[in-house]
Formats: sequence, C-alpha cells, structure tokens
Amino acid sequence: MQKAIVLINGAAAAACVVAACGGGGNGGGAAPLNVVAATVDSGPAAAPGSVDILFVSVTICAPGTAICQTIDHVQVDTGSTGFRVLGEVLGAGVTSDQLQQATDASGNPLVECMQFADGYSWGPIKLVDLTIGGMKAASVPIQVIGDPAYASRTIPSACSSFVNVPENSLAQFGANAILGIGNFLEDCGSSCASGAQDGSAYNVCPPAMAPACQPATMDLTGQVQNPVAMFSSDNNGVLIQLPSVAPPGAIAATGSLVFGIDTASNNALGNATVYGLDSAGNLGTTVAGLQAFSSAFIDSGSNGYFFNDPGLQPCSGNSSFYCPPGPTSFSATITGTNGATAAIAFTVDNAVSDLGTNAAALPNLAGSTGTGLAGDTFDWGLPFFYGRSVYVVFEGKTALGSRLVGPYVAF
Amino acid sequence: MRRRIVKTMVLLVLALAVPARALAALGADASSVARDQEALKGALTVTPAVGYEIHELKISTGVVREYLAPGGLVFAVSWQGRRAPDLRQLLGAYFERYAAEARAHRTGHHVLSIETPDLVVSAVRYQRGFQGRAVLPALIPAGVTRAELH
Repeated sequence: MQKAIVLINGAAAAACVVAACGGGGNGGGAAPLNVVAATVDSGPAAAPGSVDILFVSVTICAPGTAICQTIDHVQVDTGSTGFRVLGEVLGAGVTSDQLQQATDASGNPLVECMQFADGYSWGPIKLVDLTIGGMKAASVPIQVIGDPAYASRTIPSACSSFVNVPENSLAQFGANAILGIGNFLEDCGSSCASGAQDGSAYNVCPPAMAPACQPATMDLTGQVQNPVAMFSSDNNGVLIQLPSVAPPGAIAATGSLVFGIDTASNNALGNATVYGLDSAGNLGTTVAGLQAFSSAFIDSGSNGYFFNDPGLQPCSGNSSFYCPPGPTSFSATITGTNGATAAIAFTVDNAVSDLGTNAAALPNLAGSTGTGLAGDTFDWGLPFFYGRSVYVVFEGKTALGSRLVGPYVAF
Repeated sequence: MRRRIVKTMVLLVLALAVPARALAALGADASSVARDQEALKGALTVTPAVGYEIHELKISTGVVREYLAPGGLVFAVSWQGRRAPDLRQLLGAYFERYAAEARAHRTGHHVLSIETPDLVVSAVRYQRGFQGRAVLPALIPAGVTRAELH
C-alpha cells in the first residue's frame, strides 16, 4: 500500500484550459481530435447479442502506407492492455499478411498467447499504424487473433493449460477487436521481458520449427502496447464518459472516449477524485453489510458488476448472473491505495428480466464470482461507467490536476 | 555415480512426460500434491485447519493452495499470482469439464464463474495477475464451508 499523497485537484488543470497543454483537444472552434464516439449496442452484425459492452471504431494501416481498414465494434477494455483484432475481420481494406510481422533478432515471427479468464487467444504480433478519432500512433505492436498463417501451429501447453477454451474466432471472442487501454503500458510487463518463459505469453515460431513454436522473452517495447500511450500527445490516460441509463435499460447508449487527462479542455480532471492502484491494477471495495473485497477493479471490459454475495440468488439456467426477485440496493465504499474513498450506491436487478427487454445497455446487471466461495474480487464493470466520467491514468504518467503518479483511476 | 544421475534424470523426464491427467490433484489423493509440487517446482508448506489441511505451494509466479480432507482427498484448490497456474495439472480429471462449462458460461474476459452440482470454479483475470478457486462441493468435509477456502 502506498502512503497517502497530497492531492491538488483542479488548480493546475484550470490553468491548462487557457494555455494549450496538449495537441489533440485544443484549437478554437475546430472539432477536437482527441475524442471518439463510444457506443453500447448489441454488437457486431456477425456476432450480435452483447450487453453492456462498449464499442468504438479503430483504423489500422500497414505501417507507412494508405493500405488501411476501419474496424467497427472494437470493444473498449480498461481491464487489459493492447489492440487485438480477429484475423477473420481483416481483408476488407487490409489483410493480415499486408501488416508488418514482428520478429525476433533472427527474423523469426513472434506469436502470442493471450490468456483471459474465459479462454485464450493465439496469433501473431504485427506492427500497424493505428488511428482512433483524430489521434494516430505509428508502428504499434498489436495481436492478430486467429490469423490463419499461424492457426496450424501447435498451441503451447502452457497457453491452453489455464482454461482450455480457444477464443480465436469472432463468434468465440464476441467483438471484432479489443482495445485494451488499461493502466499499464504493455500487456505483460517485466515478467515477459526476462527470466524463464513457458509459452503462456510470447513465442517465436521459426518456419523450420513448424508446427512447433518455442517460448520467447520479449522486451517491453516489443510487447503489445497500450496504443494511447504511443500517441504523440494526449497520451497519459483516457477518459470514458457515458450517459446515465434508466433501468431496466436502453437499446443503446452513446458517449465519448477521450484521450489524455488534463491535456485539453475536454479532458480536465476538474473535481474528480483520484484513487491509486496496486501493482496488479486493483484497489479496495467494501460493500455495506457484506464484506471487504481486497482486489477490486474498474473495468469497462466486464459486462456487469461481478462480486460474491451469498444473499443474491443466481439465475436458474445462467448461474453467472444474479436474479433477485426485485431490484436490490447496495452501498459500497471504494478505497484507493492513496487512502481516497468514494461512496457508491448501486442496484442489482433480476438479470433474466433485464436481458428479456432486448436492451443492450443494462445499468443494473450483476453476477457472481463463484457462488458461496471466498471472494476477494469486486469487478466494477461497465454499469459503473453509466452517468460518470471515469479517468484512467497510465503507469508512470501524471495529470496536472493530481500529484499522484499512475497507475490510478479518477471519477 | 554419473550413470545414476543420468538414470534419475531420465526417470524424471519420463515422469513429466506422463499425460497430465495422470497427475490429477483435485479429487485425487495426497500423493498428487507431491506430484504437483514436483511439476510446479514449488516450496510446500502444510498448515492444519479445523476439518482439513492446507498444502500451500509457493511457486515463482505466485501461490497455489490445495485443501485436503481428513481422508486425504483434495477437495479444493486456489491460486493467486502474476502468471496463470497450470490448471491442467491442478484440476486433473476436472480440467476438461471446466473448459466445457467455461464454453457454456460466457460473461467476459476478466471474470469467469462456474456453478455445477459437483464442480464450482471462480477465475479472475486482473490487469496484472490471476486469482481463482475450484471446489468439489461433494467432497467438502462436514462442518467446512466454501467461504473459508481462500
């Protein structure tokens, strides 16, 4: 735990509004470049039916060329780092083969296993020029999931030995791509950059070794990167602003994904309070009358509040979600590693009832992290973002309105 | 002497080459913990609790705990660490069951929970880390609750 840190909210940020503090959002009258519309809807036409998933459009190009493709329904995920696109989505502008393959020092292709809680995604690391809204980053390492060029390679045992569920197709993955813009700059960090590797993250796949690959260390800059941190300005964090949604829900909800914090008039920290995060990206949460959760996180990539409450009834037929007989209210306290606290009220609806409305934006959707099990985790998923401005400040970065050095969140 | 060492190494390699299923921990007996310890290269600490024993393996990337009933059967495992644990090893015969249930219970990429009569699992993916538990409810000793298995 970090010691309390003196915070100076607002004052420095206010000075920034007059002077141009960042590249993207300033410029009188002109539409700001550092923002893109973000929408919660039912998902890509080819894989419809999502709820509480936030999407943006992202354009990727072969580096230094105008060979590009704009990808819609890219999931916005503050719970992971890096851009990953499904191989099957490419080809309507740029093919995976046209993107630059990342290689090791010997010129052999690098391929990654990305382990999520619910499955793993396998595919090569490619370099792309990436544009979101008016912001651009050059030669960003990304992952192309399920790229046919590497689909016949033997998946390393350590990759599939966590949860043996491949998520290499659009149908399995549920979005055309994912934009990981969490607090960290790389998807793995120092543990992949040195020491013994087992194939559960980075691998090198020399043609002569086919169908096998072998585990590889990957230096920090070669790892799949947080693309926002590679923008030339407005690169210290992101701000997600979504409107309030009245229960049980709405067909869609549209807000903004803004780049940079305290770098322009549209991303001032203002009166938001900052909450420090630990090295795993977590803070604390206590739910009144229930328990203290030591590992809580604020995650746009989770489609509900997920926490363990033995008093809430799991839905029959879908025990992952809660189905109380009627709306159930909770009050919680979020505590950052800097000691800052926030009182948060939230409500859990009957999920089957809410899902039956065909709405995609459900503000009171919640589920379990394992019925009756000891639970240290509270996942503040996308419902937390409705009606709020949520700031995500990257590791090692600062915002003018706070002396706290990232990783931290603010709201 | 040298020959003896080589022979031991060959045996060790053969042991590790045995299909992981044969090294089952969850639902298996206490000897499987020793095999887990060898496979995961962890330092083992045994702590008694009321109604069961906790066998804790400290491995390079985190901590794995196995819960043994008085009869010696592993009725629960938990994990926490920077890297994902080898659940093929730790869940043994239940590993593919877990995968099949995971395919059927899609919620998101960061939290997965499985609730079936004979197998309950919670898996969480933090930005930088993994945490989870797997419990066999039918094997939980009398008087022990799911909630006390950390």
